[in-house]
Amino acid sequence: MSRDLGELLRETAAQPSRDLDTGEVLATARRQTLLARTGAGLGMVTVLAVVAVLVWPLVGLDGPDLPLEVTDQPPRSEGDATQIQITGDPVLTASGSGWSVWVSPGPDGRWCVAAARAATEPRGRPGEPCWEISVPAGIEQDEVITVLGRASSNGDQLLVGSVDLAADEGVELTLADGSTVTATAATGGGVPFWVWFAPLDGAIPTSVEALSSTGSLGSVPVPELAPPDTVGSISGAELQDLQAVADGRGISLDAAIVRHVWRDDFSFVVQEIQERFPESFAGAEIGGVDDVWVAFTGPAPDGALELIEDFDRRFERLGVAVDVRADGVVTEAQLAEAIERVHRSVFEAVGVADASTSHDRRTGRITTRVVLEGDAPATTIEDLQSVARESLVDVLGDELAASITVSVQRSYGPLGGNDDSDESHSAPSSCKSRHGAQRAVAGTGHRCMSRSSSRASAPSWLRRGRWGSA
Amino acid sequence: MVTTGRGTVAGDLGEQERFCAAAWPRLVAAVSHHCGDVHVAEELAQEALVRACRRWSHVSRLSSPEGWTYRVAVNLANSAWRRQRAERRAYARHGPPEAVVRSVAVEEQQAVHAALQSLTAPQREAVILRYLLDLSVEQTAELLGKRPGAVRALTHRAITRLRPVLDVTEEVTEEADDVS
Repeated sequence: MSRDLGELLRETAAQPSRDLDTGEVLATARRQTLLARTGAGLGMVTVLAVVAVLVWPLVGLDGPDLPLEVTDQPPRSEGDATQIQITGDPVLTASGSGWSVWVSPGPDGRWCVAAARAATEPRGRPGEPCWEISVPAGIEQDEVITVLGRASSNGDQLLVGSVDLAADEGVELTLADGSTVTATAATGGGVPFWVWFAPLDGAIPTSVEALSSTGSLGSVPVPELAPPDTVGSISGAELQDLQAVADGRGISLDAAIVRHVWRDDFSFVVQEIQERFPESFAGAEIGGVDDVWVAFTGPAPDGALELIEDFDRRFERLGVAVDVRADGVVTEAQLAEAIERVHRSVFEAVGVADASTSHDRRTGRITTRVVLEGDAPATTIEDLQSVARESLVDVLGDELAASITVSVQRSYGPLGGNDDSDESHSAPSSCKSRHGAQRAVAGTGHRCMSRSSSRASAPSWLRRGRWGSA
Repeated sequence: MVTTGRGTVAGDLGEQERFCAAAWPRLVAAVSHHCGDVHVAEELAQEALVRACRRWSHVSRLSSPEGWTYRVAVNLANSAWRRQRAERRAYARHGPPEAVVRSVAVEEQQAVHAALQSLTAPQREAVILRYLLDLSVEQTAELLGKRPGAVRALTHRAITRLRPVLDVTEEVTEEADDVS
């Protein structure tokens, strides 16, 4: 008996063997966001260190409250490097469900605060919302919590709150003025340590609020939430895996990094740049670790540069950097239109029986190969060359068109080129047409194909855009 | 007084959590059709959900956040390196790949899996997005970076290939009509 395909797919699909720990997902997402933003922040963020030492055995049930003292207040100037130092032990209140730390730097500034655990934890960027870090459960050694921040022009105060070791969501802290804030906490799988700031109406003293004393810390395995053991910016765990891969395949560690991580990460960076800066993004390409670029139509947006710098920093051990090309670059959309226009103009010219157009970004050349009708005069190719050039200028204008070469070449045999496959290709962008063809695509009689990325093969083109996928 | 920024963050977190919980079973189902192992599918789906949460401000505005997340999971699965890491996590979490939970007869599931594997990757993705995740042609086209007509062509070819193997009805003849 025949069945509906959707029904069949649903019935034969595997069901999850476990429930999703959404808390773990959210905590991991925040941690990764923090990691991603950290690198670039190093160059911009003046490190402000507030170091509190948590001796974990003290942070358990009935752990003591410890005094916290802010000894150096931040200046009001936002651009200045600022450092505050909290001496002594932080004020901690331990309970069965966690501990909390409150820091009040006084009336002199509202800070955006990032928290970091030990030296390897990432630091935040001023002006960003505050961060959450994850502290693995079952810690047995001393822990160092570092709080980083910079004064803002806002005169409000700082509240750093941290809640909730393995607590359920809905943890609530009561502020000095009686109002409350709540935090969504991860459940199971990790121990989120939330830090946030909040503008306050008035000064609050350094204070401690006890959390619920119900429950127990227990020991929760949190392999993915453990603080990153980093070498450069690639985690130690990743490096170990990569080394194993490298050994197994007889390649160098760097080659393994390039093959398995660097290339993927670059494509993610490019994807994010394209989505965040669609008006500026012009294209990107990996030709090899020493030949990788991202292009923009105008000045490269700061946010895009930060992403690229993050990427470079993460892979600094490779000693390569992404080349940023800005201003006067033809966008993917413009290029697509230009290729199609050139192709169409040549193909529709008198005397042309068949045409195939391709573009090679490395050389900046658009090449149209044509099969002429039998009675076409010999001068036709020169005419077609002019037609193609004019079409290119029509689309791009003189200035941008100058960066692209157009070539029309005569072919005496059938034109090869695109087939009907819908698989991804590393082929250049191209169009193909034939008079009298049986198959018409998009009603134009032309069939155009764009480059598409192939992560599995190298080197590969990365083409971003919506044009011509069919 | 203390809601500056926090209210939005808390709201986003609630949204993300609800999205993750709701999308989880369908994503695992979809990804398992792609990769053939439910435990690996779970790891890939979870990693994709992490990425969705990381980029929630963008993803939440898409017409199909679930479709986007599925695409990310498939991209992860297609990366040998990332898939290998997912397999290692699955192994660490569940042990050797044996106790796979199946909802129907193993033979039928394997037949469907084999049939899907006979498709090209774009065809397979288009079919899963359209018929398992119930996305429209336009949504699928957006996610795959293709034109709607191309999606119709993909699904039409896929169904043409699947029909003799799986004996599926052509409730999907719209695809055939669209491309003919």
